[in-house]
Amino acid sequence: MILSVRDLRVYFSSPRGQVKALDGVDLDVDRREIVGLAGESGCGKSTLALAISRLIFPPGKITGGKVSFDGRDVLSLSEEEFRREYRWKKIAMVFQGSMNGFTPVFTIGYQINEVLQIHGFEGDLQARVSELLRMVDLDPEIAIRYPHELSGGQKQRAFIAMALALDPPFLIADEPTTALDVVTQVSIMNLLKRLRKENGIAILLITHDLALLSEVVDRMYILYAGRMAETGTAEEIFREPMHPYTKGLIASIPTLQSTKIAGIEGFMPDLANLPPGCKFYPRCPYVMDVCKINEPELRNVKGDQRVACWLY
Amino acid sequence: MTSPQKNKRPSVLRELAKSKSGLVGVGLLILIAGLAIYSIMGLPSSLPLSWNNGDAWVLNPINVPPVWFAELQSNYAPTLNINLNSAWKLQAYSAGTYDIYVYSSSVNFTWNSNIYPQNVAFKASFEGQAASASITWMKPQGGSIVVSITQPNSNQIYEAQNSYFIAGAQAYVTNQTGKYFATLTKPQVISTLFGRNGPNILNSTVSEGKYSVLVQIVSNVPLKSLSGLLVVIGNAYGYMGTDYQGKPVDLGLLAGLPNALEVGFLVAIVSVVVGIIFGGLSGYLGARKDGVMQWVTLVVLALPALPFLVVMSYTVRLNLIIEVLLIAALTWPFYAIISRTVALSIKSQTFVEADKAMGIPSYRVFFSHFMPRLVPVTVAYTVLGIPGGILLAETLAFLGIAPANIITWGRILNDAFTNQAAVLGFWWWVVFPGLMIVLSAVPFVLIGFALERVIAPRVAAK
Amino acid sequence: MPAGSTSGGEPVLRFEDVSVFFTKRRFLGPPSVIKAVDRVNLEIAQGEIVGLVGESGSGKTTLGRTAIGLQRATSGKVIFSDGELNIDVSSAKGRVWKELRKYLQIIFQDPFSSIDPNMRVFDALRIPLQAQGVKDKKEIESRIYTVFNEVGLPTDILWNFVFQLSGGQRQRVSIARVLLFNPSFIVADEAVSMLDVSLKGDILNIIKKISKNFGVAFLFITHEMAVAKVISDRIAVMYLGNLVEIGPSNEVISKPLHPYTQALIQASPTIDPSLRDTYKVMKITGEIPLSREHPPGCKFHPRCPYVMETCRVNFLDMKEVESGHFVSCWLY
Repeated sequence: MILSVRDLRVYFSSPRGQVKALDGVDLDVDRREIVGLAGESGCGKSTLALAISRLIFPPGKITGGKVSFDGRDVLSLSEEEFRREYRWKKIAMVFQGSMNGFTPVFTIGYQINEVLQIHGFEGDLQARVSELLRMVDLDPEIAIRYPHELSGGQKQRAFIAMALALDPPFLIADEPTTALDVVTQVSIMNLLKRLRKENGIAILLITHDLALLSEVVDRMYILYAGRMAETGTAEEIFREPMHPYTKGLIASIPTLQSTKIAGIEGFMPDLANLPPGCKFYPRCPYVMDVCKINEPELRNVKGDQRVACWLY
Repeated sequence: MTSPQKNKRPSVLRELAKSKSGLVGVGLLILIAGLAIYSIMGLPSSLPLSWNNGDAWVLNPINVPPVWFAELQSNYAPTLNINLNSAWKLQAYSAGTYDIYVYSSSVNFTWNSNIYPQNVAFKASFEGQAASASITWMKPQGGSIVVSITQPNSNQIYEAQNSYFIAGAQAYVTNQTGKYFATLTKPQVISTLFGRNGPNILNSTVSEGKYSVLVQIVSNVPLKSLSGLLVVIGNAYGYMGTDYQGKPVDLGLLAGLPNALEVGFLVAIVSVVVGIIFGGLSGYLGARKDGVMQWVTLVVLALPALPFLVVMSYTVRLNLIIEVLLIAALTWPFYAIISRTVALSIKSQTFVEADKAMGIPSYRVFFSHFMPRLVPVTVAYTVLGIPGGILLAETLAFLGIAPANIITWGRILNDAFTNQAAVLGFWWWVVFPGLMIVLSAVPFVLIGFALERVIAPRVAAK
Repeated sequence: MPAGSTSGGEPVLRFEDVSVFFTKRRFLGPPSVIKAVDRVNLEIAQGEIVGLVGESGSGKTTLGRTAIGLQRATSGKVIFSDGELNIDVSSAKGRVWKELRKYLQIIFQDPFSSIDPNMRVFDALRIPLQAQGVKDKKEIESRIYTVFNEVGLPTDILWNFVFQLSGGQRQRVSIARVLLFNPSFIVADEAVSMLDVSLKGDILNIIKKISKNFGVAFLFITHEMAVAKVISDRIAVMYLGNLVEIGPSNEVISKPLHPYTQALIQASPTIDPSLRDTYKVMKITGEIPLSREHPPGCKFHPRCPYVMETCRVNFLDMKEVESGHFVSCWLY
């Protein structure tokens, strides 16, 4: 496993009380695979991305758990060590607004160049910049252009190029295409698939768009209210979803084949005021008494599929 | 924010109470308010009028530091107020066609300091007419000086500079030194009264010890309500010293406090309200009207406030209202700019467009969405604007521009500079008024910033 | 009147050759013109739901706002008909414009900013009602209660502040708000785009119900083809200000005529894990152009795999290829 998260807890202190953004989450990503993390707004998926990259700042705090990269616990490193060895070198990140992460006063090439230099890249800088741009299907001549001359898709791609500057084996992509148009989304997804296949990069793809995940990822995790509800391979989950939340979620996805769509009753609980027991019980059509008292653990049910639900 | 928040809208006061600086500010504000109330109720209303009348302050030492300062330097000669009330003895007798009444009072005091007093003063009050009065001053070593006053007036203060005193001193000096002096200065009179006897009496050290004073008042009719006061004026006074006329600095600052607060508050509230409404409308109206209003704002902003105010104040007769309006007329643009920004950010919110799509009239939109968001800003900036108002008003007062017949800190400072207080070392006259101006700002600044911190996130309309 | 001849019903809103251009005066040089909407002809029948699909820069939002009069058309007419009434929305001013608010309404995309969060829910509904001239307190209350029931909200939240409501609840309040006007036509501008997947269904169902029960026509603007399919009777596709295709929903999805529509459909994610090892190959190239200058002729021609000479030069009006299914493309 290149990335291994165990029992991660991230709490935020707020005037309303302690917000348990993540409360005991496990996640694994192996080399050469794309893993999906799905959930709706407020479930904690972005917090997980930030926690892995050690970008959680007060009032948030990683209060427990381990994040191991290539077997080594990265949470125990000092900020300086993490920055020197891992950030951007081993763990790269692309977020939703990343395409706006370029400063408008310098060219794309200059900015990628700068990243290379800061991290001590030795070698022909210009050649490397061209190589990176080609890797993301961009014409290397884009290096002399300014960010405002590029489209959203091109900028996002350029940012991915910058993220890959130091050949990281692992990439976190948090909603990388949400602000882009559908056709561009296809090409970015193709790019991610290619990076996995040809460059062997492991990718953690985080999005609320389940249909998108289904077309791209090998395995997926469903996050609800800071806890994992279900995990398995994409086929397993979409063919036979087990957790009532997953079922409801999949039934809610509008597709070109649907004639009507359902929803899930209720709403995500306030992370500062969580109900006892299973966090989903107020909305669950199969709720039982035990659900209101005890919180279920993720349990292996079939193949690689694991569910946290009292039904199993 | 996918789930609803169960808590009520948190009250501004509660959040303010959580801020430490806000609480300190409120505490200081209560203190200042208390002082102001005391000032209004406790000080005589005739004070502003007697302020510039030097005679009213004769009984105080002049240009002296605070008592605590003199004590720190072990240099303190206290002012002695010796009451002659209980000691009057009457000798009445008849001399033919008219009666003679002699009232006598004898008092003692001890002078232990090796520093000369600044002055000596005598005052008698009575009903009726007195023919003459005499003060017999007996020194510890022996020897006495007699001061004779013809037809003394009730409540008139006779002090060392007075001709009667000088006459009495002259006689004694001639007796001691053998020389005749055409006139004596105040220090010389004091030296006569308090100095070591001998030919060097005018340059000698202080004669420490017990002094005895016999006061006799003679009249042809009985005097009613007779009282007398003998004051030996020392070299320090009060908490903050005195100025060139003996006016206590602390009294002046206390008297000036309500004025400062009043003008500061009025200036703040007028300029903030005018500025916020102007800026709010400007942002709300947008387009050309906004352009024009912005231009006006910037032009007024660019005007140098102080010179302009000085010029304006010479063309009109100044009273409080006019002064407030003038200052406000030059300070409102600052707030207009802020509120315009707030209005613009509100305008860009979708609910404004939604209201338009529902045909809700403009004025309604302004009142239901803009005003509630501008009010907290107004309050915060009014509080923050008070110190500025105070400073500007006191600066004008320093330059001599203030409504007549009120005591202002600026005027006190003006007097200090005119009388070269800084050069002459009368630091208390300059430091305390200056400190007061600064410190009066502190509670408002603390509260204002605490308020601003509470209000700023709410203005973001989410 | 060609395109979008309706599915039989009486037209309630008709776009006649509507163009909306934004001119920006520049300091040096000629003014820049943004053609947000370019020569659109469209008819929406009473009670029908037309899904308007397009991506950023397609002009769909501008078209929606022009439909109800929040934006004036630079040329062309927007005719609203209701029985005897026949009004050009685009030239309506003052009183007439205000009267039209009773017939034409809009639901916005962002539930967090389309209602003032600092108001009480009741007031957010009362003020529009009073703006219509309703004064009687009892009537106000009863009407608000009625619309609240329509959108499935419990009446006890009427006394909460808007900021205490969730996104889904707020969007329902938005819908309740426009229902107070009893409009004949509502524009839903990306009304579910900001909602979580599990909440979209509810809102879409409410919209469908309103359309059916009250005969309200909807122009449902969205960038998601799948959502359009679920809710609309007919789907219209826009690209760079032009209407490129329109037809019954099922037809457009199963037999898309315009290459752009085909691309949109192909690009829409579906639930298909088997695709994970393959690369989706799009026939079209490039991206939506950044530049404000639109290509001449058919605006899609630079990206079109079937481009012909005439496409580069000539613009084509909508042509009926099958019954009720129109497309603007030289292939047909």
